[in-house]
Amino acid sequence: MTACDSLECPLNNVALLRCGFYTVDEKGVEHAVVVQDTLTVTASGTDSVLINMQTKMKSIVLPMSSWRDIDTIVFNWNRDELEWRDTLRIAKTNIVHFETPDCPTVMFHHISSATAAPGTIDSVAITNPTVNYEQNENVRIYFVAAP
Amino acid sequence: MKTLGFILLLLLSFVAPHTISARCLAADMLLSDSLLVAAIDSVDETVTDSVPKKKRIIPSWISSADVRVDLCGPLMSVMGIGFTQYEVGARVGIKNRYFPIVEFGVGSSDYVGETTGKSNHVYAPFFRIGCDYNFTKNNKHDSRFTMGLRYGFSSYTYDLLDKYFVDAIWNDAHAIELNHVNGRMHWIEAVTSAETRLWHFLHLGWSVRYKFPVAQQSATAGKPWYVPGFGINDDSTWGANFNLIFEI
Repeated sequence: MTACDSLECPLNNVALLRCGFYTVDEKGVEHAVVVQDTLTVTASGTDSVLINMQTKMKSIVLPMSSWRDIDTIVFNWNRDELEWRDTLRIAKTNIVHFETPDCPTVMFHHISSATAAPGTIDSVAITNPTVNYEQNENVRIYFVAAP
Repeated sequence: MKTLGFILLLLLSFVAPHTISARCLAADMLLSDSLLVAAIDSVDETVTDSVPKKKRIIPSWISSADVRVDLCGPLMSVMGIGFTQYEVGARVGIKNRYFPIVEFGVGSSDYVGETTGKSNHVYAPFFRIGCDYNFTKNNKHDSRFTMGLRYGFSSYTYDLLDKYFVDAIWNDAHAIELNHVNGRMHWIEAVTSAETRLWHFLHLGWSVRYKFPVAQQSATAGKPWYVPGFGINDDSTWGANFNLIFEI
């Protein structure tokens, strides 16, 4: 016989991709930047809006797909009347994290590559490939110039 | 006079039954008197009967032995705890102070999360071994208060199923099914017990147990909700037994 146990599900039970914004100066030194433009992020192939019209950001967190091997994430920028778009592609392995039967199942991810279509994003670097409950930065997005 | 000497030697052989010389002298005296030859058989029989040879099979330091059945485990699923456990044990008493014990049984669970619909299935045997120490002052009393430790082990296969996993953001829905996943756990239990004699060889006893795993092997995707013999799979857990004990 065993006593009843309390129900303890993780409060932050979503594994999120954490992206930091950076630029590299002429000397090759990288700097974190605060993006002033308005950003809306959408999940390609769906009508989901991941981030809606945010400004003054130096990082963002994004939910990743549970089953797809590659997530295509669209950055829609807006400054005054000007609009432009960047596309980020994240290739990954999905890892089931079952938790207990009383808590929702969560998917962790292991990023294998991160690329961006030519645009205001110059390059993308993976700093921590494991996407889980830990709130570490996973990728660094380097802009050609502060957008 | 010869008869008086015989009687004295015979008495001496009773007082010191292992003294061979006394019995030999008595026999010599009897052999010299043919009338008493018939009596020697009865004398030898008397001497032999007065020294019964008791062959003790069980060592004297073993004070008791029992087998026990847990009555709580089968009631667990009825009480809505989510698992069922059948358990028996055997214990011996050493000088009524130390009680080495073995326990074994089977446990099963088909727990389904109320809010998620996720299910967990496991069915496997388990085994424990340990020792209790009797703290009762009058340790020959029928009641005992003991404390002890157990080492527990179970090797099991388990199934995890989430039929309703939906990714609402990316518009995906897939069932997650993990079948026949192998796992094992080693754990330690600190046990406090109290028991008393109910009738002749029949005892009743309670035990309360604090359990913690020392090693666990399971899939990276997830571990079972319940481990047979341990209980709900957590960093630590409490358990209790209500034992029907047959002691000799």
